[in-house]
Amino acid sequence: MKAKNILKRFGTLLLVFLLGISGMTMTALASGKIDLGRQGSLSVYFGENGIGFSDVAFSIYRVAGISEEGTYTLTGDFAQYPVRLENLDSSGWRALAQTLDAYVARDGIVPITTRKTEQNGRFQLTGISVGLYLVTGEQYVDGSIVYTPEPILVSMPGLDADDEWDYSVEASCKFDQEDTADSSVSRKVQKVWKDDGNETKRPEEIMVQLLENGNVVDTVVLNQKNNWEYVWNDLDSRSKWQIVEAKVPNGYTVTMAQEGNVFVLTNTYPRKQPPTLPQTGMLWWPVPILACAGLALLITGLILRRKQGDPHEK
Amino acid sequence: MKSKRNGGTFLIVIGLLLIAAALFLIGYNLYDEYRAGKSSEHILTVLQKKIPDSSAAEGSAQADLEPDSAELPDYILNPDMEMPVAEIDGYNYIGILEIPSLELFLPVMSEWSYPNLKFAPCRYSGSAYTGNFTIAGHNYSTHFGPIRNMETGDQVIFTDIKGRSFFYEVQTVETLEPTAIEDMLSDEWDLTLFTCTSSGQARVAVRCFKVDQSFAER
Repeated sequence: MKAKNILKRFGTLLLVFLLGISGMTMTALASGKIDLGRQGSLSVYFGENGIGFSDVAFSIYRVAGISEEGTYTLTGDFAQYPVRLENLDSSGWRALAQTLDAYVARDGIVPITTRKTEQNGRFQLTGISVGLYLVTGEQYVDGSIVYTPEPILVSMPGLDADDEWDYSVEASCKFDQEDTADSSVSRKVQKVWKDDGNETKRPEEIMVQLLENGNVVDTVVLNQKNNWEYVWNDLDSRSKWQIVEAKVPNGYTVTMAQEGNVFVLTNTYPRKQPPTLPQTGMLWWPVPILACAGLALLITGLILRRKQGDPHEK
Repeated sequence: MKSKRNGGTFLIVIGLLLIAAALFLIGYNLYDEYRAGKSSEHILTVLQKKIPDSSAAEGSAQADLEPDSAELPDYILNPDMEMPVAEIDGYNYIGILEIPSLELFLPVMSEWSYPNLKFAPCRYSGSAYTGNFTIAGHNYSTHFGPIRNMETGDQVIFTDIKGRSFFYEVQTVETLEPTAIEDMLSDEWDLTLFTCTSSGQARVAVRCFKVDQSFAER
């Protein structure tokens, strides 16, 4: 029952998310260059069914700079993280936001600013320079229901409906809601390798840290023996649970996406294909060649011998 | 005079050697084919014991999570998950491929390499959960040799290590150049089986779409 609710909510969220973020993935298609010196404004809403959640603290981080053409480059504290900003689809952006959010929590990165939502569930920032921003919020508690806002990545400028750069960006926070009347929850981590053709670069095992409200409370090893997955049971439902890959293997990038109870941890290695498909044939082709050549030599030899041998034998 | 006669003998000797080499190669190929058949048969027997009955598998897919979140199998929630493997003699297997029209039952190895292909067909890319599942097999008559004779509508069944079966139907059989990697990995198809043509110069690809079980049983 609970899983169904989560899924249903997830489905709706995803739709909203697709609508909201599709602009970011289309930056390359937008006409006109970005004015790098211009400052914009950002308005964020957090609420449900038109009722805003007030007095919720949000932190804003500048993750990347942006070029005139709309290409992002990691900046500041974020430059150290092995994540990829190119060719992301909507779920890729969502996973990237969650991945960075977990890093921020674990490494205690300082936000450029913090804000609290007003009565209407909104807050506004003005005078922000162009770039890519991570917006994370704290949980909002209503009775036994805990609303956890999903971290979001916001591009300044964004794209409007006519594919023009828009310097006053509005974002709406998606959230996950959990009933804390159930006092415990479970979380599962599943590892995904995207390294076709480079499997040999894969380490034997990786370490995953479990974060409770930003603090590392457990570290587990994932490897082939446990099918690259692990389940934590009996976790406090009032806490915010996240995971971080302790050390990302060399050459790989990482994303962590949460879907319901499951964290999907993906390590990607840039694809390098072998030049041809595997040779799956038996070695039959030399057989007729060898046989024919052998037969030809044999006959020629016999003829030669007969020709030269005849006078001798007379 | 004598040297020419010797020349004739020399040619005869070389000719016989070449014929012997051809015979040896035939013998080796036949032996290799027999060995490959025996090896996949052996693996299959062991593997079948490790795979649970498919009717019981649906429930067990997420039994390790709390019961109230066990409504959808994990591979649907996260199709990118690694396919579970079973280890036999130091090699990892992801499941069993069945082609009823050819009476073929073959284990499928998790990763491909030339040594691996000598024992069983191998996953070349993708997975049964994501869709663009590609399996490469040697063209031994006991492995993928006969797939070139498959026809549109033929059935293919893949069963993973947890006993969950995926049903496919052949759409087309095509021949590709060895360099046509992108074509081979086209995500237009749910399942592709491929092997070398008998000359070894090209690849035969059997392209399949997923069908649901009730349809497959008609």
